[in-house]
Amino acid sequence: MSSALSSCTALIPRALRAAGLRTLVALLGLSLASPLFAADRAGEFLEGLRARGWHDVALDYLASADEDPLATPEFLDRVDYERAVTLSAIAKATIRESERLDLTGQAIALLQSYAASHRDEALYFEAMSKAGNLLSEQALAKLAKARRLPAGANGERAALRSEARASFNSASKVVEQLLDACEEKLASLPKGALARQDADAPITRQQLTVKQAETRFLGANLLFEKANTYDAPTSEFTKTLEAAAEAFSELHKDYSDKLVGFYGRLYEGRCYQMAGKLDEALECYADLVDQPISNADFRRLVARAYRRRAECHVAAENVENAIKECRDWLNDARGAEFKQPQWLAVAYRLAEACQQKAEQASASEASRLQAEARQLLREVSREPGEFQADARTALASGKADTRAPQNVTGFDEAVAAGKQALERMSSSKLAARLAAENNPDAVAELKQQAQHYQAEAGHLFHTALSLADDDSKLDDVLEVRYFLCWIYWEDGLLHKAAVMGQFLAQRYPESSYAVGAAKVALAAYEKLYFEAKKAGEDGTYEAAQLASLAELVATLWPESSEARTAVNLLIQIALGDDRLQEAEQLLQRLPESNRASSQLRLGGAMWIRYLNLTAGKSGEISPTTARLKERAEQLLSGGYDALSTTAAPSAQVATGVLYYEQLLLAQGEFDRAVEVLENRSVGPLLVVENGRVQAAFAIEAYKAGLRAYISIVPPQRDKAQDMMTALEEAIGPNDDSQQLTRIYLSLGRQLQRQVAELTTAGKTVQAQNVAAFEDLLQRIISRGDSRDWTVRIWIAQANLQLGEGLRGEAAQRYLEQAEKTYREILAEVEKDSRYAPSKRAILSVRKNLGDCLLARQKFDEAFQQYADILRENPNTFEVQRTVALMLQQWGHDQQQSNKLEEAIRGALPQANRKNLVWGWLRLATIADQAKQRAAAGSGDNQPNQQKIQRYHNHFFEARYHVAKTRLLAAQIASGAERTKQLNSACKNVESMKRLYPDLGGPKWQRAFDELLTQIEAESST
Amino acid sequence: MPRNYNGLSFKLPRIACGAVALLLLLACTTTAVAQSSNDRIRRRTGSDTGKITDMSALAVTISKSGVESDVPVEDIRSIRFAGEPSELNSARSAIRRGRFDDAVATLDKVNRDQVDRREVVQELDYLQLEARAKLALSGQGGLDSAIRLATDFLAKHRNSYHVSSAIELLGDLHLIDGDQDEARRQYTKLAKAPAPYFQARSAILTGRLLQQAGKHDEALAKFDQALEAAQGSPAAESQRLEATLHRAISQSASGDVDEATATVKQIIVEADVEDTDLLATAYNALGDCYLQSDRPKAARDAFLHVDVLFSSAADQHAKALYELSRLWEALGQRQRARDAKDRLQNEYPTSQWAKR
Repeated sequence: MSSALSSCTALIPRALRAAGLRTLVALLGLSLASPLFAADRAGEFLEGLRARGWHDVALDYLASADEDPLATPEFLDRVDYERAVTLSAIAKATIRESERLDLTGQAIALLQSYAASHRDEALYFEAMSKAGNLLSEQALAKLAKARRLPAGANGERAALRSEARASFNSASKVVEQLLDACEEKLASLPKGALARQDADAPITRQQLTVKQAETRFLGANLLFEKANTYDAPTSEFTKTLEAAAEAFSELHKDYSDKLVGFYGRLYEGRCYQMAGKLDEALECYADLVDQPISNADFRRLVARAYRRRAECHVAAENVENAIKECRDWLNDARGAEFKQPQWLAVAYRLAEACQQKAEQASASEASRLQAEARQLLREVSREPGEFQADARTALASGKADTRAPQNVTGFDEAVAAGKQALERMSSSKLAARLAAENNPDAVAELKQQAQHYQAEAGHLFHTALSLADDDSKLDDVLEVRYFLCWIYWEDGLLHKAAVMGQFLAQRYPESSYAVGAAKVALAAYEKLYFEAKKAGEDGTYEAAQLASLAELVATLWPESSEARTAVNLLIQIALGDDRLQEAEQLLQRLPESNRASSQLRLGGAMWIRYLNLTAGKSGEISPTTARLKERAEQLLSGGYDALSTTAAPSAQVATGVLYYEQLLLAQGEFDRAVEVLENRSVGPLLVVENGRVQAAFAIEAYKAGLRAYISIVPPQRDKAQDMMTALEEAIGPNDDSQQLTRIYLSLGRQLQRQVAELTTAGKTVQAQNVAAFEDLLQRIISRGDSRDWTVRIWIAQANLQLGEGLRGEAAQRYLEQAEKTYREILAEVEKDSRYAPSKRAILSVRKNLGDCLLARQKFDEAFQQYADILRENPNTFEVQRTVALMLQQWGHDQQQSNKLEEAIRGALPQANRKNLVWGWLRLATIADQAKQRAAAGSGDNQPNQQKIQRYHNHFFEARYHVAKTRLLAAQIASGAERTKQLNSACKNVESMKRLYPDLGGPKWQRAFDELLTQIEAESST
Repeated sequence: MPRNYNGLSFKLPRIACGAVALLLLLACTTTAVAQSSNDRIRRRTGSDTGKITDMSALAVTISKSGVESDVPVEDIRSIRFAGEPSELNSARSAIRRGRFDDAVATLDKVNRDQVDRREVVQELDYLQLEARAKLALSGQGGLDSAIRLATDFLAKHRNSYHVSSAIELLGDLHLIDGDQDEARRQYTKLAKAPAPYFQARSAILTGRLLQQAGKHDEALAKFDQALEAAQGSPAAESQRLEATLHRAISQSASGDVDEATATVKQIIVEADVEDTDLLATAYNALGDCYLQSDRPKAARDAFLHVDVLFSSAADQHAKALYELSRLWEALGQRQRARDAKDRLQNEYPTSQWAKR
């Protein structure tokens, strides 16, 4: 539809809107106007945005359209008009009434302002049409609001009606201006020979004529609607309707052979009908129903006329005519017309007429009429439209025919009566379902009715079986048995349902009822089995029956859905009993194309079994356990691949996919894990998003998501943040068991390892890794339980590790945080020594604080920290070693030869004249002694060997650093001192070579050789 | 609604006569062959009809009423050969609209046994190459097979007027394949043609390659070289615009965002409204400029232009979808972000943008 026409639709009543203005124009004999802005790419872009429903973006775009190089001056000139169009579209989609009215008001103001300044342009007509249209919408909204007010709110109602009237009057003024403008423009068009010279003139004339017809219709309709702002039958009400009727009548006369003219006639009739002039109204409608009716648009018009005629007939208490005309019209419906709103309206009016007639009819006639009405109402209630809600209400409030069961005298009669009772039962159940939404009070009664009819059906089918004889058709008898089987199931008579169903399936497998009966029997046995289990029984009998029936179904109807149901049930039972092998064998019985769901379930069960078997164990797993995991993966992967595009997965499928996700994460297949996680059909995140999952599922899904996003390379930080937020929301504020902190801590450690591996491998720590790590850190810090010792220690360690892995300012930030946290921990310990789990733990914190200070190159403070530790524990080898390294670095970085000397010989002499800080020489001696002691001990066991190796390394390391420190001292000295240090360094290496020809193995050999080369190079300069 | 109301069955819908007519129409069009006995060269300005008597990688000779004239390759938009299968023109049109899949399907229907004119075989081979190469370039088709196709074409049809286009396609394919050296080698070949158009083209393509590698200073030098080459040559006017556009992109990446933004806008104003590729590239460049200026909404609108108006420029469309998926996310529109990402993955599954 062209933009010129689409804008007017809301002002036109629903009936004519549905007819379609394209048709209106076509029937006027006019062609649609070409688009106003043919080469306007900015306009196309704007339309594209609107077509996607992105009105918010459209508004943004319009606000800065002058920046778009494609925007022509013409486009920029109509920006306000386009803004109004967009605002009105937003208003239509806005639910809150006040907001909607506000937006509509803004749109109207913009349109009127645009029209006022563009009177000579083509868009003037569009702007005015839209403004009138929106004013009318405003008025109708206010009228609707007035109708919804309670009976006593007369003052408010009157005010709203008055406001609505004012809006209608404003709209009418706009319509008048529009008609004047059309008239004026038409008069200004060239005529005669001049018109023939102007190629555009005929097109413009056509467009204006269309606009004129539309506008006249709209003007008349405004009067028609305005009548509703008065009480009937006041003189204002009557006068307004008369004016409307006259306007529609004029339209009919002026366009007597066009659709718009016929709609004029229809609405003229409606004016009379509303004024209570039923004969005049019927006359108008008669003009329409007498027309030849082949055109689809015209048929819709005629359907409306029939509906209105039925209303008039019923109002005139001429129900018979209403019923006859409506039935005839509905029987003449073509194709899918019956589902169109106009036909459904006729059906609804017919249902009403039937119900009205039934009140005075004989019992049998009344029953037939009621049944017809119910059937019609059911159909109307199924389709969205004007009468759907009313039909539902009517169904819900329908009275049941709960008279005593009929006396039946023969098999056929009993079967027919039983089926009728079933039909009524279905109606009552449907009505009860519908009533739950719109008439909750009626639900209980309707359910009772359904119960009643079900019992009656059961009684009649039993009677039928007792009346069956040789003349009764076998198929009918089987049908009755099937119905009974189903009724038993519905009544909760599970044993009876199971036996009857099994009998039918086994005895008459070729019957069309056999499969259905088997399905009922399977369901009944399944329920019995689970009930037995619940009651603490073993359910062997039920399981055996189920297995036998499932076998039968799978054999007789292998391709049927019932066969799949049967095997799935057996698999479920086997899984419930932890018989995985049997479940896997059963799986093979399912057609390959239908295995996926069961595969997922079985794979999930295997995965859980694997987790149970390996929980808390380290080291190698047995080949059987490894196979279990392998098979779980195959099944889960296969099931997922087959179902990955399934819309709305079942809970079991969703759980299976989540297990698969967990397995992938456990195997470190993070790319695939993210793919599964985000699958737009069965992915755990989508399943959670769609709702209807238990909180535990959501938590597991978010945990898996967090782990996947953090572990993938590079980490997807934003998504991980989303997962953390979702996880926190899912777990809620009362996380007494510190579940979240534990989750974060575990992931944090994982990421810490990742960062450590990168650092160790000499790779640059990726910004994403650091950022993701920091996100977790921040989350953990922000948790209430971040004062916990373990958590705090981890926070400090993590910061220290990050700081050591980075350089420059980035490193300082983390190191500061680490230092701060270590100091806080120590302050806490100071206040309450029980805060720390052990003395050793405190020592470790102090050592780490020293490391922190060292990393920040606060040598003095670090030295003090280490020295304090050594005062209490002078023989802590690791701290001694760290201090020696520190002194070495301190001396080198700050060119202090005394620190280098202390690194070699030690520092802080004590009362016993020995140094508290050992230095490299003493470290070498101590390491050598420790090695000797370990070697002399009972020494072939592995820990002892490791100890020997450790001290062996420490010895050579210390000796190496003695020489290295000498070289460093030479580098900052000059003259004789320099020569002395170099000679000393050289001698150190050479003496080591002499004493230990292999220099402690290849590692230290290489190190000493390189050092010697450096010394020689330094000596030669 | 019951199928039967009051005992009356609904009538089955009748087959509309219009549908039958449509079928007949389709039947006619699928067997149609181009009936013209003349070849028709569509030039950048105007067209020539006559008989093509000679063809080389640099020019096509057409004889009109016995008078022969040479049309330089750079001036040719397309050629319709007398007697060519009708599918060729459908394929050309599909390629122009970015419907490369349709083009491939259409060309596959051509019965090669019935094509004996050498030029038409060349045309068929080239259109197949172009459609498949563009599918591959936009992440919708196999790269290796497209490279093979291009190499085969160049080996088989050395005198085709499509040689320069095939060289460019081969370079593009190597570039996407990560082989920058080979891509550059192909682009450099174009400069062997003496026409200013190809001098400029070669410089632009090389410049684009450098641009993608982040070597913006070197790229700028190439674009300047292209502008110099295109100077004063009407045939190279399109190259002047393209060089200016890419120059602006590199300029923006080098930090001169304001001037680059103004230049890109000017290019959009000057561009032919039908030049979808150029407009798509320009709007993406504009989006990049806005991103650099930290104007996410303006950037979104620029990339949306490509999505809404110029989506037939497949590679540019893939980029726009990628940028939009990120921008929507940044603007808090997660559903739209997801939709853009899904479309990128579905429409251009092997594109470089889908892999980011």
